Amino acid sequence: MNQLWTLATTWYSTRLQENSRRPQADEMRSIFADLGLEGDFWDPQSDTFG
Amino acid sequence: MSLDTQTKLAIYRCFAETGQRPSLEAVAETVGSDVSSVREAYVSLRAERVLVLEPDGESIRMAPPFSGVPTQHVVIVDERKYFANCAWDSFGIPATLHRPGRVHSRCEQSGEPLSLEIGLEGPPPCSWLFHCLVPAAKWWDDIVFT
Repeated sequence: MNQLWTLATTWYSTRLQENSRRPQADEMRSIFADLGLEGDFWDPQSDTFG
Repeated sequence: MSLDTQTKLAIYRCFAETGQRPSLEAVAETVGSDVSSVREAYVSLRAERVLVLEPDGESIRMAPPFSGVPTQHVVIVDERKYFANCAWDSFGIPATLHRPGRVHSRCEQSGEPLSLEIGLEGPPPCSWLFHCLVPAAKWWDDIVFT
């Protein structure tokens, strides 16, 4: 649940602000890696899954 | 500020303040523009993956973490009811609002109702697990299913 809270705050804590934006692929990869979420499943640009 | 940004803020602020999705006409009125221009902004926001529309091209299905339609993930913040798109987004609503809240949902394995208090620093320690079924590269192939 702590991982999920970190993801939620990283994605959404600035969502009501003018300059907010969704993380880009390389940023997502870094965010997931910091949480120990690695491998093809968590790679937003993986072509493993067709 | 660009019309895309004005439109995004109008949508998100409506969700934050009411728990409900705004109509296309209401967004146009808020940003002081015409419906056609706001519809074009919707297309841009969809491409940025901050907006998901219904097939009619104007009804808002998702402005993540908010859902424009009722879901099993109900979030109560300051006595206002919100619907989230998924478990991740149910945490995302208190994170977006910077307010504590309570998440009501259910365990997808057992069907058991779940209720979890979310503080400003997140949820309390618990043994629940978030199961992500779809690989990250495929999330937006069908974001409603994801």
